[in-house]
Amino acid sequence: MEDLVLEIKNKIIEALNLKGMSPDEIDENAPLFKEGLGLDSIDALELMLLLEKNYGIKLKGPAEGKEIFKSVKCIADYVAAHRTK
Amino acid sequence: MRQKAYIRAASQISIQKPLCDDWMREPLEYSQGSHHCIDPDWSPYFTPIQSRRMGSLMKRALATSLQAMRDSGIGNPDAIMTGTGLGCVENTEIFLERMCKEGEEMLPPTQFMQSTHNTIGSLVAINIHCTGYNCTYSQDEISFESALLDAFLQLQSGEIDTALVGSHDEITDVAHEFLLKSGWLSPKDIASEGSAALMLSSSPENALCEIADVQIFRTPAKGTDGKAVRLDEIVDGYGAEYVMRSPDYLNLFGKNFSVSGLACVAGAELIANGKCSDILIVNDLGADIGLVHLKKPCGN
Repeated sequence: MEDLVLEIKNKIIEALNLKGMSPDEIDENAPLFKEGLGLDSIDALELMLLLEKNYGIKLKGPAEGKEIFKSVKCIADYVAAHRTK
Repeated sequence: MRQKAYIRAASQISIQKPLCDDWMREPLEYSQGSHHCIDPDWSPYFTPIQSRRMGSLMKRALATSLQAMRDSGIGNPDAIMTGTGLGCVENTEIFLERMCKEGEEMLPPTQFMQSTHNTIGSLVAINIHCTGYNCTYSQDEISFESALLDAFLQLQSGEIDTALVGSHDEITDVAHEFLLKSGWLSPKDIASEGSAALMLSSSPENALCEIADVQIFRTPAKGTDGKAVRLDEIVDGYGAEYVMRSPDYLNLFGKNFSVSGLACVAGAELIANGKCSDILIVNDLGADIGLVHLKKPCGN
C-alpha cells in the first residue's frame, strides 16, 4: 500500500502541476480539498481523469468523488479495491 | 469637460531584466532566433499551489498586473482591458497535441479552459477580485493599442477613473515556426514574448506620464480634404520631442504581437526618469498603425 500511496502522490503532483512540491510534503491523511492542498472543483475533474486513465476507474460524477478524494489514503484504498488496470 | 488619462505605474516582463527599468542603463543584447522572457521569482506574487493551473503567460500577466497595482497604490481598478495577439498559445498547443495523441476522450479540463484569449484578463480579475468592465482585444499587432484606446476613451468620458491595461504574448517553438512560415517573422528577427501592465488613472497624482493621444488607423490615412496622408506626415504633425519607431523597440524587446505595450512601458519610464518630456510611440508592424503619444504631466 505504501508504494501505491507514493505512486498516487506523484501522479497528483504531475496531473495538478504542483511544481516545486515533493511527495513528502503531501500528508496522506490530510484533506485534499479546502484544507490541506486546498484543491477545488476543477482539480476534482483532473483527479477523476487520473483514476480513469491510470487505473481504469470511471466515476459517475464529482459527487461520487467527494468521499474518495477526501485524502490520498482514501484514494489509494479505493484504487486498490476497484482498479481494473 | 473631458478627463485626462495618466499612467500611474508600468511594469514589464520581457527579454530584458524583468520588473525594473534596468533596460535603460544596461540593455541586454540579442541576436536572431526565438527568445523567452527572463522570468522573475514568482514567490512575491503567488504560491506554487495558486499558480498550478497557470501557464507561463498567465504567470507573467498576473505578476506584471500585481506589480503595477502595488506601485500605483490602486487596489482595485474600475476596469481591465487586455491586448493579446495570440493568447495562451502554450495551453492551446498542449490541448491540441493531447487531442491528436489521445483522442477526444479523457482530455484534461485545465488546458481546455485556459486556451482562450480572454483567459488572461479573467485570471487577473479573479485574482484581484475586480468585478468591473473586462474586455480582451485580439487585433494582431495593434491589440495593445485597441485595449489602450478603450481605456483612454472611457477615462476621458468619465465612465471610469482607473483601468488596468495589459499587453501579453508568448512564443513557443511551434508558434515560432508558423510565424516564420507565414512571413510575419524573418529568420533575421529577434523573435520574443513579453508582458506589459499599465495602471491608468484620471488623477495626475504620482503619475509617470500623461497619455495625450491614442490613435489607430490604416495607411494610407485620409486627411480632412480626403487626400491620402503618409505616415511620416502624421508623425511629424505631433511635433513630439522623441519618436520611438519600431526598430528602436524591436532591438530592445524583440518582435512579438505585444511589443508596442512594452514600448509604452519604456516610454513612460523614460519620461518619469526625466530623459525626455514628450514621446510618440509608433507601431507600424502591420497594415494597421498604432500611435501612442505620452507626455510629462503638467505641474510635475
